[in-house]
Amino acid sequence: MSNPPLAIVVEDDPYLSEIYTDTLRSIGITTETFQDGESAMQKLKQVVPDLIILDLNLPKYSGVEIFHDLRKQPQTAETWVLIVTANPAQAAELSETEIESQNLLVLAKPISVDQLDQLAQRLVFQK
Amino acid sequence: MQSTPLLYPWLLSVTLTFLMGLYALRYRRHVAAIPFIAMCFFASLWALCYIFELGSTNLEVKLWGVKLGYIGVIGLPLSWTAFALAYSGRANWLTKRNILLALIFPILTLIVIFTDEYHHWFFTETGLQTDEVSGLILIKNPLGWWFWLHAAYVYAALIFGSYFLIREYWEKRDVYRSQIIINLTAILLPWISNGIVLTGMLPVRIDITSVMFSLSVLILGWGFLRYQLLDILPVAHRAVFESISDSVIVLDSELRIIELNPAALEMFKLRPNDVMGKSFQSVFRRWVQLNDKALQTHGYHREIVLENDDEPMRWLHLFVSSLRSNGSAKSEGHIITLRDVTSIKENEAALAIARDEAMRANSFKSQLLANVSHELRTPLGIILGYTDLIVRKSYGDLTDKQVNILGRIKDSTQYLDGLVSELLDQAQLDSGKLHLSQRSFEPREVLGSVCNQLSVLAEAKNLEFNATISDNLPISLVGDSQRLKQILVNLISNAIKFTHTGSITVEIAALPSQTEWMMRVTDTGPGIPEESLITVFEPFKQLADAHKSLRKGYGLGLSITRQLIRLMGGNITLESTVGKGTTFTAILPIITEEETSHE
Repeated sequence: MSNPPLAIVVEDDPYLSEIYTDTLRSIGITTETFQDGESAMQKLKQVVPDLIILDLNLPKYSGVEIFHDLRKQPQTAETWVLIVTANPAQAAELSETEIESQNLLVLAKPISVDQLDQLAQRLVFQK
Repeated sequence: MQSTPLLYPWLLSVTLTFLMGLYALRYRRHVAAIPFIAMCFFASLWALCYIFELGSTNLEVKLWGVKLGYIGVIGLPLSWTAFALAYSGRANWLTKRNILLALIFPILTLIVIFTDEYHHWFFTETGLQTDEVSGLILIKNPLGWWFWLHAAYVYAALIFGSYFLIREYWEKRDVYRSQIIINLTAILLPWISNGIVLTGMLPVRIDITSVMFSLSVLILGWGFLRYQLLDILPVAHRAVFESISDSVIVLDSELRIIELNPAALEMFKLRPNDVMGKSFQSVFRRWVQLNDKALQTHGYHREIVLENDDEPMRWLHLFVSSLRSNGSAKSEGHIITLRDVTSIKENEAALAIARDEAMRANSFKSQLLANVSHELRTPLGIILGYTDLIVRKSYGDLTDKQVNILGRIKDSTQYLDGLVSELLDQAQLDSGKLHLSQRSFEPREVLGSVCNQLSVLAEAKNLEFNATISDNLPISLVGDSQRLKQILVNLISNAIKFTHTGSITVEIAALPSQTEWMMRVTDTGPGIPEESLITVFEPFKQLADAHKSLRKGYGLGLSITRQLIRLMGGNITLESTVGKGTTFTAILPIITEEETSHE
């Protein structure tokens, strides 16, 4: 059996990070959490996760910028990204084609544990 | 008695002046009407007495006719003078004291006349004579020295009155002039004829003065009717001109200033002697740049700014009107009216500021609402997330009681979460930032899944749940499917929330016109009382009993639902019977792919 699936969580709120981590762990997904975009991006240059959970409102390096960079990087160009934002209007900074592109979901906070659970199962295990 | 056609004019005079006097009684409240009414009756009396004087062949009767006639002879010119004074705005001179003083001499004259046979001061002798031309028997009464005193007094009174009428004439420059001319003609007529009689220029030796006076009274009366002299006294116009707060400047046809009112002098800090007769342009150049053509254009108007030293700036509205005599096409002059509109201007400016402030406050409110809502979402997510994880026993075992309580925490948090979403929607609607997407979607699939999800909630409450999506609905529609889902979720979950027994029925179908479709949700709930029907769609309006439970309010839901439907070009209606149930029907335009591609 290969390594367990990996999810990268970029969320500046530690409690939410913990909730995502605990939920994903319960269905067998390992997580690595980052509280700012810069450190997350460094990591994402080295590893290709199965799922990225991305907050948009981040210090220094915004979620939208991270998303743009991810899509430019060939190895993460098709990685599933869940944007979970308190302000879905911020997602408007993404272009129409980006929003409609494959492997992206924009969700409004708060998302329930059940919702995350179901989505992660579908995106990671039923690829 | 002697009868002669010569009497007819006097008969006519008696009748007409008497009737005129009666008619004028209706204006008796008017300051100039009393002297006029007196004139009418004096003229009538005089003419009547003359009929006796001329008609009788008896000296005694003739003499009484003459003597009584003098009451009219004296009264008529005196009342005319009073009339002229009242008409030219000097009614205040007609005090009791002045009138009594003025009557001393006439009363003495009347005494002299009635006692003439004792001293012959008025008539040197009295007798009968036959007129050679007409064959009539006339009275012979050569005039004595008192008569000439009397004549001098009466003429002086007439000249006095005429002087003020003529002055009034020069001060007026339009239609009132013709009225004054009527007055003057009316009074000149009898006195010219009287002059003719006195100088013996008339072939027949009869006195036509009283007929002429009657004619004069009738002309004046006609003037009243024709020009309503009593209704529009020149003095009233002068009073308006002088007291009006608007500045009025009168120009002649050469655009020279011939009159301005006190308001104009005050407004521009001018003195009458410095501006009278000067051209408008030379005097007002400092404040208003106008070409001559504008000054001559009837109806021309513009706004000017007035700056005097040491005074705040003022805005004036300038208006030009032309002066024309009755029926004349040529302008005889121009009136410039200036109205101070500073306070209106200031009010407008204040209103604009208030409006901007209100808009800023509203935009601030929307922004605040949006920010607060966003800030609430993260902690709500944390509460919900941890509650879910605890319920899942991720952090250890729980008692049933604990699971139960966590369920309540979750319900309340979800309610708050819904409210936050609604507040955000409302903030976006308020700021006009809510944009509907226009994408193709399949209504059967999108709305069907909403029905499926919510049927679980209905069944949990033991409610029958029927949903039908008609085949007549197009397979594919264009619109904002997320917002349509939100609308349907809101309508169905409200129905479930308020219904305790019975059923929820959902019908989704195209209307027969095929230009609109509807989503109709019917419940068997308690219904909405008639007085609440209008307020149901207003934000935070709830039914009285809905207050009892936090989660039973309509909150913003229905208000937003209606705003969204209207934004989509549709409408929502509501029918309800208390005790039977409620039906909400949302009607929306059918927009298909073909239609949008045509645009």
